[in-house]
Amino acid sequence: MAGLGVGIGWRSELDLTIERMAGVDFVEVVAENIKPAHLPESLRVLRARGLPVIPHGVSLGVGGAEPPSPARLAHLAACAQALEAPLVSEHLAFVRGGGIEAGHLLPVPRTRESLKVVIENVRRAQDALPVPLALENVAAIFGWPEDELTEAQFLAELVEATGVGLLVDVANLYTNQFNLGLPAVAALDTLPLEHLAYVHVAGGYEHHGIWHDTHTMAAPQPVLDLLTELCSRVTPPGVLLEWNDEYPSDAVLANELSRIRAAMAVAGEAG
Amino acid sequence: MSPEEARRLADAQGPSAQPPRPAAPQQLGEERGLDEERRRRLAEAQGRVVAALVAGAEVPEGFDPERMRAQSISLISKRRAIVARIRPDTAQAAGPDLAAEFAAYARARATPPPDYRTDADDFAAWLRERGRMPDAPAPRRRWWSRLPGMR
Repeated sequence: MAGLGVGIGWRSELDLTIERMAGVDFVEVVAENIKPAHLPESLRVLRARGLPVIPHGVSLGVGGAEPPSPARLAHLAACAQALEAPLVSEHLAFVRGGGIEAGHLLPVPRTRESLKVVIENVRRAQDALPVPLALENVAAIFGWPEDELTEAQFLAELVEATGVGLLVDVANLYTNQFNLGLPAVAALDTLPLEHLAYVHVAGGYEHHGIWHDTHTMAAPQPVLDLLTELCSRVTPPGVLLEWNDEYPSDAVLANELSRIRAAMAVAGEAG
Repeated sequence: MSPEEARRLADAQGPSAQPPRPAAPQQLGEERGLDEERRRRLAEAQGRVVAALVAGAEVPEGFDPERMRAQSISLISKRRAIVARIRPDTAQAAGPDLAAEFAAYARARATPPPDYRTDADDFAAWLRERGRMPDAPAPRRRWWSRLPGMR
């Protein structure tokens, strides 16, 4: 996939900040927050400048037991079309069960059996979308007792079977290392990075021994080190900063983008 | 990059993009039955986990109860953040007690509502019932209607 550059997650609270900020090459927008027929003015401004805008879904639940909802897929497709997006991204997660919405992304049981279900779900999603789909690794607090594969192995199998792209969130890799002891560098070794679509970077904080991936703080150095590690293996088509709530000054956000560029450059120097 | 370019690149991602699928009708039927069976088992397992995380059901066997509790708290704080964004008046009314009030509200209902907007409105109603929030304000009068002599 061709170069997206360095970007930031578009939020309505950051609309003017992003429009004014130098060095934003692309943005991502949470698909559930927009109506394709009435795009926010700020996104139209960015599109008019030629910035790629990627719809990022959070409620499809491609890791769920039910096939992905045609209505949700139609919404993602309409977002992609309205934004002339090069791709759509979602998560390897389930978000509901037994008719109840969990309200956030939960890790799928990583068994050979559930892999088959998820492969079929991904194929259905791909069939319904006008552009390629990329799936993101999630931050987990718990694991399933029946897990047979690591998340990276599961994603590798999924990529092999469906050709789906990867959205590698290095902050989520860090979270899983912190909370579940799953080595992040080993995950980078296993993920088929030649299918990388782009990368997420974000900050969070530790509370009572658990890392909370809140996207409300500057990324800690270990997360940026993981970005460097990733960049030493592959040149990522894009790297995107996620920040939700507790928005800092424009200068802090600009500095985060600089830190991301610096972490990417370190890999180039070392190589 | 245009969508066309993206598609071309996706097509160029290699032979794995379109793996062969079973062809014979009988095989298709069998595969469909297996798929349904796998989906049923996964639905049961995921349903138990969601019920434990958001509806107060027992943690299924084999899961770490501490981690499930942490996940459950994390889900509530994600909901709270979104509710506070949709209805800032609830966050303002609850003030420093927002986390405690929202946790109590979340515990008091059997399951979370199907969407965040309902969650936000239900939380506002919950605060109002407890006298923590003023009644819904009357529709604001336009500034010109407050000018002397204007109605």
